[in-house]
Amino acid sequence: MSTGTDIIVLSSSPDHIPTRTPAPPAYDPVKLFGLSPRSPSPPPPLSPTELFRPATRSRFFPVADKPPQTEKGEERTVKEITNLPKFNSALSEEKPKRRGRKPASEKSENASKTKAAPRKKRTENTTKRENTVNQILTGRVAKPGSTQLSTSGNKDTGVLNLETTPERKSTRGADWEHGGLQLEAAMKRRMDWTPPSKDSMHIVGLDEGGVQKEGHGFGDLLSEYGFNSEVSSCSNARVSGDDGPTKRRRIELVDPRLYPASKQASHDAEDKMSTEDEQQRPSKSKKPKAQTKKMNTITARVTARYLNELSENTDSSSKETSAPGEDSAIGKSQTVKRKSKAKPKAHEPDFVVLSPEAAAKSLENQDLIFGTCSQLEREDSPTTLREMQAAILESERCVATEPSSVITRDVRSTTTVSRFSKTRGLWSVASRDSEGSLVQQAEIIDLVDSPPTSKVPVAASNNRPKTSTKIDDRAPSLSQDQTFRTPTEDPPARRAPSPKPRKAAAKPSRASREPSSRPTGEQPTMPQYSGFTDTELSTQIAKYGFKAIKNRKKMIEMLQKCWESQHGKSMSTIPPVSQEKAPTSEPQIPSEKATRKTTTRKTTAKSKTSAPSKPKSQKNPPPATAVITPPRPSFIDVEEIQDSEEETIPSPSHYTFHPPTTKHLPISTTPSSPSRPRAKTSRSKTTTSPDLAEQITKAVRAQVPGTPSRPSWHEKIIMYDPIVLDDFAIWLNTEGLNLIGEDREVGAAFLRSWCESRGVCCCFRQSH
Amino acid sequence: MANVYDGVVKPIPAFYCCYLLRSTVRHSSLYIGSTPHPPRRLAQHNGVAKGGARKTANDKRPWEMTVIVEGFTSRVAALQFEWAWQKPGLSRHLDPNQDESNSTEPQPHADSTRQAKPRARGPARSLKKHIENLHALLRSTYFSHWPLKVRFFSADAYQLWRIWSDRVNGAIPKHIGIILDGGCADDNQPGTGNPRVGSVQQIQPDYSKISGYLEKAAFRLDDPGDLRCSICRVLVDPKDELVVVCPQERCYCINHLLCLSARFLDSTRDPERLVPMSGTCPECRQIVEWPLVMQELTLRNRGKKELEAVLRKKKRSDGRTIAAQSDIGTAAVETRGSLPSADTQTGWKDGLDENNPEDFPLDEDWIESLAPESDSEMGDPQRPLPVGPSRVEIVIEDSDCDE
Repeated sequence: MSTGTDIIVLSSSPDHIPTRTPAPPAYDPVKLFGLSPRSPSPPPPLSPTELFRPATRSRFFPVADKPPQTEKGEERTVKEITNLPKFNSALSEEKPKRRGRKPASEKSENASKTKAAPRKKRTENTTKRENTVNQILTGRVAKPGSTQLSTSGNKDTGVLNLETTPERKSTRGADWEHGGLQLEAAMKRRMDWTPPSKDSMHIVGLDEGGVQKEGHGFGDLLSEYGFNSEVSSCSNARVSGDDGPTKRRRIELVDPRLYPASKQASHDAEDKMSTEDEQQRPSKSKKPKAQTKKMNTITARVTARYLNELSENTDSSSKETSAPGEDSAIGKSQTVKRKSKAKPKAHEPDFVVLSPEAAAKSLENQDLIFGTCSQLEREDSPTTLREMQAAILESERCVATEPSSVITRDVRSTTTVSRFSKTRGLWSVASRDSEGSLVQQAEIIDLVDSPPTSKVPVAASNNRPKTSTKIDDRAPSLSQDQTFRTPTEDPPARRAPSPKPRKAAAKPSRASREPSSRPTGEQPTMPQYSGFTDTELSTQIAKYGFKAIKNRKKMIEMLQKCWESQHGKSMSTIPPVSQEKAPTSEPQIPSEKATRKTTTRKTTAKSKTSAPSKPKSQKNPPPATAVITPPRPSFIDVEEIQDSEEETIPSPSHYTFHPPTTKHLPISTTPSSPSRPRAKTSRSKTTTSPDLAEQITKAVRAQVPGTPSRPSWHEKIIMYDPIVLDDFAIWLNTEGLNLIGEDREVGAAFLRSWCESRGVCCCFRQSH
Repeated sequence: MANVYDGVVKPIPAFYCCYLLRSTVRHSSLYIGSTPHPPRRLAQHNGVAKGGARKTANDKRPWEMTVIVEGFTSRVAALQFEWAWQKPGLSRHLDPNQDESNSTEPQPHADSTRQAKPRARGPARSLKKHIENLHALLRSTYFSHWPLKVRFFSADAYQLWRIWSDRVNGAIPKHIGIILDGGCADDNQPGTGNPRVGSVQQIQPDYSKISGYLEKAAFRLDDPGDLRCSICRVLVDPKDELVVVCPQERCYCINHLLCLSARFLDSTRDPERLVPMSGTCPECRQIVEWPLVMQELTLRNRGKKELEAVLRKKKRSDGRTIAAQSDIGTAAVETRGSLPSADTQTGWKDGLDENNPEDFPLDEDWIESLAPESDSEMGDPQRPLPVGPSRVEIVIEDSDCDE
């Protein structure tokens, strides 16, 4: 289009080219400016363009031209033009081409024309854009200029008009002189520019008139130009909205279109530039309209709340933490809670972000049923689900040796299968915070003892009052504690201290450590190896120092033996005993802990970093692997969750029954489970004991003679058969050592040394 | 657990050795390998026969075997030794501390040498180093229990060995025989059971040298009459029990494996010891080499086909020469009849001939596939015969161990 040519014309003044164009540092901004803006004659106006040429070329060529445009008439025209959608689009389209053409040859050719006017208009246009870019990218929507349009609205094609309009002298030239162009910065920027997205450019043009009028000096423009985080973010967001220019979508947690307000709010908080804000607002408010398609992603919906919350929370949370009394917090939370209950999803747009406490409480009052979507959907009546669960519980309970205890949870877990006790421990632990205290929000529905349908509401109602009161903290936690009690854990560690977020006196490090005090009477239960996958099994075996065995059965057998030898047989068989008294025995602790807890919470950031590594320390119960709670006072701080044993795969029933309440907390789960600290390996004991080798020898000799096809191990050795250590180890551990009443077990490595010291040719099984 | 194992186990090979190969052109070029068939392997190295000898296929031919360590009771054993010899720095059996523990009294020389062998001693490069390592290996706890023999074919290697033996702390176990052969001056005592063979080419890598024993044992155990363990005096059933037969030509003593080994071990007065080295036959009072007995036992129990092949061959050679009682294999046995020596001599000659079809099964992978094509009529159909691939595999492995 002609516009393109126009611009080119501007840039080309033959005289100046040599001096001004190429080298950025060479420019003398002041001098140039002085000349360019005022003189209507071609050369001076040209010069600035020339100056900025490099910039324009890149993407800012508007910037360069800006100075001349200040006149009203021009602006008007420009605005007209810009307002005309077609023209606008045309311009935007043109630009790339123009750029391409620009090279010096064209300039020179155009020099003859040297019409200041077109140039100026052009420049103004561009400058506006630039402005917008810099300050507010939101520009597209805004059409502030509408009022101004009146006079020149008739002009046909923007291009022609531009050329025809008379030139005017810019009054603003003075500004430049005063402010200076600050070209150094510009040149620097120019070095690493990235082409603007098409979008941003043409959008900008529309609303910018106002800004310029406000009297930013050109120098300001230049100096301000640069990466502006706000603007850029806005622009990005916009880009994501319309798929036009780029198909890429910016990855953002919250879709700005969905929750523009919130976003804005957050931005506002950070605001540095007040002026820009003003402009932003209008533009943003309009934005949502422009977005025709609303993107509803679950993630966006969910996270949006927090986004909003962010802004509010920063204030509120800070207040909260500083708040002296528990009461205030609770009261607050209560109020919020009321709202929150209604909240569900009915009115999303004005979702209320609950205070953490309130959220927790609301959760508490909520019945949670877990299942797959299909499951949940199928059971349209909640009662059926509950009944089912109850039925399952009942059935499991029948198996139980123990008479029914008051606490259903306990009964179930202990009784179901003794082997699962470990697992249950995990679950119960999972519902605890870092201090071993319970996370409170979950309401436990007593499914078994009550007629399922009727009971549930009752339970819920019961809990409600408690939680809302101050006292509640301890009481429910204790009761829950009971229910969750794992026999294997010692009470104090698990005690759910009431969440008193107040005084954080203790040192953070200490606080985090403290929970590490390990349950004294830990009774590990044998993991259910049969539930393991083959690979798991083999790794387990490897941990015991044995080579992998192919046969799954053997692996399990071996592991069980290994385990038994490690922990003593008695333990494996003892079903965990529920300790119901435990909670009462330690009334004091909670309060004390509470104080510490808070400290932990505050120092979450620190502890977080260190925490994950801890659980990996082997063998010993790792010191507090701090699972960090979000900084919410109402939550009892999460404490290390540690499974000293390999976990069993929880039976499906566990999933259904233990909705781990922690799910809803953004608790960072430390990788405690994978670490799986290995309990003391028996091998270290056994290998060191001197007589084991002799025992092996004895065992070998004790074996009854074999047949030619199945020689005994002794015979194999005698016959110079290479002894496959893996098999040998298995035999010894399963049969051989039993022959001589030896309880210990041997590993292949030890066997190797045994063999080698006796000159018995041995090898490991080759992997086939 | 044993069943997995059983299918794999092979009889004790007739011959398996590790060898130190040296270029006759350039003496600094050395190579350690292992083979059940040294003549053929050497031919491979020298390019005379086909087969993997990649590292030795160069202008350093011809190669010679300076030392061989023989008597390995399984391929695994040989490969372990080979590996340790090749990579002394990595072998656990060459741990310097172990050297220390083996040596009763520290000597200045030994100390210095020991320091010269730090834990991570690299692959030896010189003949001397190899000899030293061999020495150390044979003294190591692991290998010193093995019924090995060292056979020197070149005098300078033996010279180095002798010097080193004098210098180093710790002696080679007595049961490990040192045989001077080939170019070495003959100072073997006659009748020690470590006969010279003269050259690598005359090593007899098959069971033919114990064919007499094999035959006798087969004959003896075939007797349906009462077979009694000469120690526990209990009837034995060769099908159900592991029974050993005295290798002595005219001794028909049979024993339970465990009985005999217990008897032998008792005589050693080493309660920790599990495998006897040798012992005195309860009946004929001759000294019996344990490995030999085991060779027969395992061959009888596990290498039926092989055994039959050997017996057939034996018969044939018997047909040719009237009395073929080769007692060569029985180490302790003075050949009662001087006849067999000549016979066996011819026997090997046959064996040496590469074209001899009967020799075929005894190439390097014989252990993998026993007599695949010969004697099919007598073959045990149950025995799977993985022929082709295993052969290739072995050749490669063998060729790869270059120093």
